[in-house]
Amino acid sequence: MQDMENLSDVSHLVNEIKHKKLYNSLDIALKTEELLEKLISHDQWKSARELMKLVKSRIKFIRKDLPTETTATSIMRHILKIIREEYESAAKKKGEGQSLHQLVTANSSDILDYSENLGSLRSSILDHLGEYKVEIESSSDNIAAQASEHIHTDEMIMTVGKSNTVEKFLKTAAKDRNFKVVVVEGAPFYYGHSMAASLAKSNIQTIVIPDSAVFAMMSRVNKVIISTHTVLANGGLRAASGIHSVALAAKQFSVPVVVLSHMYKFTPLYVVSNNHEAFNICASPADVIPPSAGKILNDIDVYNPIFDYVPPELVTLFISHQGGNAPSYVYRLLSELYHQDDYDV
Amino acid sequence: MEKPNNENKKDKQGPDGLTKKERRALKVNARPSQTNQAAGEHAQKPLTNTNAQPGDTIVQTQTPVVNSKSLTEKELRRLEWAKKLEQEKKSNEGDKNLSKAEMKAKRREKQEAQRQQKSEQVKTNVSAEKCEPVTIKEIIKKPSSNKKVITPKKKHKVTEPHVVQLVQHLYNEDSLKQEDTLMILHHDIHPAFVRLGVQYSSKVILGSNARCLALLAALKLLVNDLKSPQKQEFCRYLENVLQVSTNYLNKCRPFAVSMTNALRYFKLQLTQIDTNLKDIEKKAKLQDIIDTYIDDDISKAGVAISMKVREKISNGDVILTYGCSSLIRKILLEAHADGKVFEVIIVDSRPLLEGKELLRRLVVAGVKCTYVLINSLSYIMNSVTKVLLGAHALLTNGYVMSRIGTAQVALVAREYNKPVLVCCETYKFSERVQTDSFVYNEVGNPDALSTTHRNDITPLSNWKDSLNLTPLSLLYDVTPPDFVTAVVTEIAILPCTSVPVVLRINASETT
Amino acid sequence: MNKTNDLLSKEKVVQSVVIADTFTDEFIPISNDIPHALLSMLNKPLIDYTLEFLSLGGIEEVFLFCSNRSELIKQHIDKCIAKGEGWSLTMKVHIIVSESCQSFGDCLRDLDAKGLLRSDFVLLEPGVLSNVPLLTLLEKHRDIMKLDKYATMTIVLQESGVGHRGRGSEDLVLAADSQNRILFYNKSTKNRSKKIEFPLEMFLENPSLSILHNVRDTRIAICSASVLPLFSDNFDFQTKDDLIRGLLMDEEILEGTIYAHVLRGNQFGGAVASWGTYRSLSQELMQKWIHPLNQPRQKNRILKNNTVIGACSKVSNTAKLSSSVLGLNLLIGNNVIVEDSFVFSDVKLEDNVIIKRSIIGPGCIIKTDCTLTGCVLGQDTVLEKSTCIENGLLQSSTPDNESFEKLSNKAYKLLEDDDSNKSHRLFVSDDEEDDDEEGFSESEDELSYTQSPVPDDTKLFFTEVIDSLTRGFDDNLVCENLILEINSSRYAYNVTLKEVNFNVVRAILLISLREPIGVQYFSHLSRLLSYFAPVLKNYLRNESAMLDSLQAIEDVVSSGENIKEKWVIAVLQHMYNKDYLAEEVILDWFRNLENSGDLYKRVKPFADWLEEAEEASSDEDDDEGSD
Repeated sequence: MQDMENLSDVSHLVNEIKHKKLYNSLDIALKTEELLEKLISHDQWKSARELMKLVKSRIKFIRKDLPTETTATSIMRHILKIIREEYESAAKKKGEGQSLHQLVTANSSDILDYSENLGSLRSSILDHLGEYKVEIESSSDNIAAQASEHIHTDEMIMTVGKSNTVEKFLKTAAKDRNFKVVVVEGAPFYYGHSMAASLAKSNIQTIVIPDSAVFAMMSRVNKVIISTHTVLANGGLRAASGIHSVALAAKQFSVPVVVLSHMYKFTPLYVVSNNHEAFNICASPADVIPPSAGKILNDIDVYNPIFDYVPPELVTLFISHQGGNAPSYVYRLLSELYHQDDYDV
Repeated sequence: MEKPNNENKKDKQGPDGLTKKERRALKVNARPSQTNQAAGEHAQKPLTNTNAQPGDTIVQTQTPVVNSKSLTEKELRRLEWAKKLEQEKKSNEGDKNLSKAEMKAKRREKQEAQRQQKSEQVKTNVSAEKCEPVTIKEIIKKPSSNKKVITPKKKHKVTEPHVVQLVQHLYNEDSLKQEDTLMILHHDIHPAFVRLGVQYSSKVILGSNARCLALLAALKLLVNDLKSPQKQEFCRYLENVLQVSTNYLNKCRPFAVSMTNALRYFKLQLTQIDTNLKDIEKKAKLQDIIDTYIDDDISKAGVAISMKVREKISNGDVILTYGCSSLIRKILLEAHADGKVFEVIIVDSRPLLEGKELLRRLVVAGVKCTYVLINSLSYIMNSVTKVLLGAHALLTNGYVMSRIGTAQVALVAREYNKPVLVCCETYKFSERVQTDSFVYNEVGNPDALSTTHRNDITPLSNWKDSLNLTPLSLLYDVTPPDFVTAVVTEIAILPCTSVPVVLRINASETT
Repeated sequence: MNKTNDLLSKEKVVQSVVIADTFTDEFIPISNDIPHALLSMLNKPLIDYTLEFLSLGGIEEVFLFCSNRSELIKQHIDKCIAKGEGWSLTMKVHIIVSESCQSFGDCLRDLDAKGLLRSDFVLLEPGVLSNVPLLTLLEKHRDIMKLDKYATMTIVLQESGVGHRGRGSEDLVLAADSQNRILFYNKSTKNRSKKIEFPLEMFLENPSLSILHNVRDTRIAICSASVLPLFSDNFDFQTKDDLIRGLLMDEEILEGTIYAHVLRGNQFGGAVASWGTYRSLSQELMQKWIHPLNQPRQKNRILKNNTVIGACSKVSNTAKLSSSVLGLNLLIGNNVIVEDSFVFSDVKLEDNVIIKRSIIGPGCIIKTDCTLTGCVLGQDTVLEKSTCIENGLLQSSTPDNESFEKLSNKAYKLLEDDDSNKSHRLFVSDDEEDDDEEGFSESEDELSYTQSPVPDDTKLFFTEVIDSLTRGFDDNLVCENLILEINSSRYAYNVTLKEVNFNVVRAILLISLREPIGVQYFSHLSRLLSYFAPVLKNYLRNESAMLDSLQAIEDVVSSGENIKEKWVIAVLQHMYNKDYLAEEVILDWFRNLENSGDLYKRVKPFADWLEEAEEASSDEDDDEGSD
């Protein structure tokens, strides 16, 4: 019963995500961080292990209810790593520094049974969390600051759908450079429309094209800059539907594909199939063919997938707040973000 | 339809029924109506002095625009005059005064003549013209404004809003497609062609086969109704009339390759008709030629292709097709009627959403269908066994020109290793070559992009107000031959690169 | 300012009322044991979907009104709250039980008496599945109320093309003005006439109006607080449709207006009101039309051929499943074929069972070699080996009404008359429906009354006429009074003149036939006819009336009563003599009769005599003329 009560905060989070009150990845990230902050500061936990158990149970809850929601689970995993780090550094204060023997024989699980460092552990974790929060909030700006290095004058940039990160990126670049943007409208959700309108307001020359014109336009495009929902462990993407075709066309014309991603979008999961339930969600077919179509709807199947898998070979560069990385480097980034044991929670 | 032979050179009417000057004036109206603010500003300065003119107030929106264009043209003429003057000054210093006076007189005469000419043009421009003589004098005082435009014939380099520079050359046709030009009486064009033109431009008739058949049907009517004047030979007269009509059609909507080929064939046959026959016999023969063409090159070809593809379809197949191709529809319906059990996935895209039509017809016939938009290609491509695509034309370098989005479908299919079959009758083969989709294409209606079926007001609804925002909808794209496994024609199943061979064979057959 | 806002916000809890019971017999026999709310759709109870939809929509307080089997529902809700289901975090559910309610209207009257609802609320009929954002709809309704203070209800409709499976058997035709206020509402079921009459005032009073046929009722309505008192005041309002019709008919008295809102885009709404709508909603749920409502992923496995099966079920290799929904914990034996059916949980299907287009309730056991087509099996039914049933309703315990057939200890087949059979019939295939419609359109609009079934009102009129005439004759009343009585009945039942004539004559003839046939018969007959002379005289004034009376005679003869041979002739003779019937009319009518008919034979002698008389008279005329 205690577990039930404790998990009510995660239930709330899951509910809000389901009800689309939390839609942006940034909002979800901040909310998750808040949730865990509350958990760490108010909850009664005695040792780091207990705390980690609480966090892990929450990760499991979210994975069960929303298998495609990776931002929340990534943040929780990172916080697990923070906890481990803080614990280890607090534990090392007791020890005399790292001798080779300790390094070789020490196993983190041995240390985690300790429950002595209560006071300092909590505060140090909270401090670190505060820094992490700042990092999350400023991630978008940091990415945008790199814009001028990647966009040159008189370039034609292609982007798909709507992303706050990409918008900021392009607007920052537009301050010093003069370039054109081609926005793919992204049917059936048409997020590209609002993106184009917003870019045009900032005096960037914008062209809106339908999804079918991607291959035709690609020969004149200099770069493709997109954002993604998730970055998978192999460097592949789970991105909005239609981006796979864009990436393929870009490869055909040797156009570099630059993916802007925050660190909390990296997940240690792999994916095998595009249609798997844990990977893709199908939304209502009414967006594709409206119910007024009448009788034919009785006999046809209509699919409206939300996500697409893009293999790592098609991605040229990942830009995060720390700088640019190749897809082959993603595994290293993952090991910096999450602890090995937490990959499979 | 008799052409008045004794036409005044001035009033010689072009295919759209306008004199050269009228057309120019309309061009002048049309182009800057895309709010050329820069030119507008120019125009406003001279305008302020001509506010007294009564005509101005009526046509406020047009005058600054017209003025800017007329400015430029006038300016250019002025420039030339100025240059000439200088040259003459240098050469005939003695006769300066005289020449000046003469020049002035000549200048005034020219002005008068031009004024008279312009007053005969479309009435809406009258008030604008009145400003011109006044403005001309002022323009002379502003040589700096000339620098922007150097030649009158080239489109001015100032980037116009809502014209994508990349496909700028494709917009030219657009300017003449405005409603008012179509409304002008085309009394020298057969009503069937006039109707056809409207049907083409409003996209009622879509698809290369449909357009070609419609053209041939109208042509038959034309041949039937035509009465040549006594002096002229029927075939020559028909040629002239045809030229006028096709120019008009071209302006309504650029010709499809199928239409061009069909017309070329017809014209060729026209030259070979025995002139000794009576008119009625000639007409009958021509109609027969048209019928045979339709029968052989379109219908029978379709049947042959359908049979060939039917052999390739096996039970349990999942066939993917894109858009709405009449040939593909025929193939699928006949294969289904033949008893083959297969599923069809129809991929569709905005803004035309043609796939819905194909979907309806297949569902009514009882074929199991799935319907997706082009963004879900990667999602469904796994379960597909074959891809069947229709074509608008096949180019000599092996590229397939088809509805925009086809290249993408072929690309993703290749990525997933699915065979791509393009079905195309040989009459659609073209000698043109192009390697990208911009060189030759057609620009669609941008408003079709800014509205969606959800009836919501999209963020793009006010795109005309924003200078930076342009929806662009192209109609065709070219698919490179390496994406296509094979092309199915009525002659054989060929690789894409065999197009020139077929063309050569066809050419040698007809000559 | 903040304090008052808080107070206001406390008052403004978003409320909703869900009526959990259909109060109809649509789902018998399954509804005997399982309340409608707990009927499982894709292995999740309907109420779960409804509550999820309400919490997604932003509702904060739900009043769930149960009457049948309310303990089960209560248990289920408590279990969900304990499990911490999504909706339980943002919504409070109050269960209101009332065993005495017999209809939708009764429930609302009960709610009114309790006074729980403070302001606008969302009213759902049972079994609603939807993804509509309710808060925006409530806002819209409040905006409408600001403009029109009598706005009572906004019904939510969904665009649905004709022929779409979701339309079920009901056909909705609406007329709404430019503000979406409903001016005309007609909901008809399958046995509908193809004609609808629109009141002319509607077109004259409104400059622009739209007539909608491509919509269907989602059974969701946004109601103002005045709806409940309306139900309390009018005891004959039993359903929501009654309320709408009542408000439209008596606009001045009841002062309420109804507005319509049509859903667009990917918003979807529908309710399970019959097995047909159950099936279509199940398909729509599977195909994600009601996204983000979804089938329970953990419990269901999706198979090919459009089949869904629940967890922990064991299916043999040779079974063939297609287009069906199967529950949890099933045991499916060899060579079983399940097509287009719904099998609930814990069912055991033994070898070689064939189930097509049926619904098998939970816990049933179907033994080998059974074939079921179009059946509904209640909970725990056990079918013995090799039973073949088509279009039957089976339940496990003895039914309450008398008409049933016992098939085995735990299988009783309910027998019902033809009318109700049609409504119970599960999803009729679309082709059949089409045929019916085509047949309808080809039939002639005008049918003579001898062929068409007499509409109810006329029947009532006839019985009244015959009663008054009999009474009149027995009590020897003045005929004028009888005529008055007949006329008043005519206006009461709105009967046409033709029918009046027809029925009056028929009544008189039938009365005459009541007398025993004996020696005195004909004298009695003539006495009767002469007594009714004024009546006949009053009604048989022109040719068409005469034709009507002849048809009445035809009708009486064909009704098969015991008629003496010469009766027809006697009647005709009498009427001819008294000049109620003219010769030409009789002869025309005679010629139009069937040659081989019984009536023909009887009338022939009279007709021949008439003709002779005619010839004779014409001869006379000729003679006279020639003179």
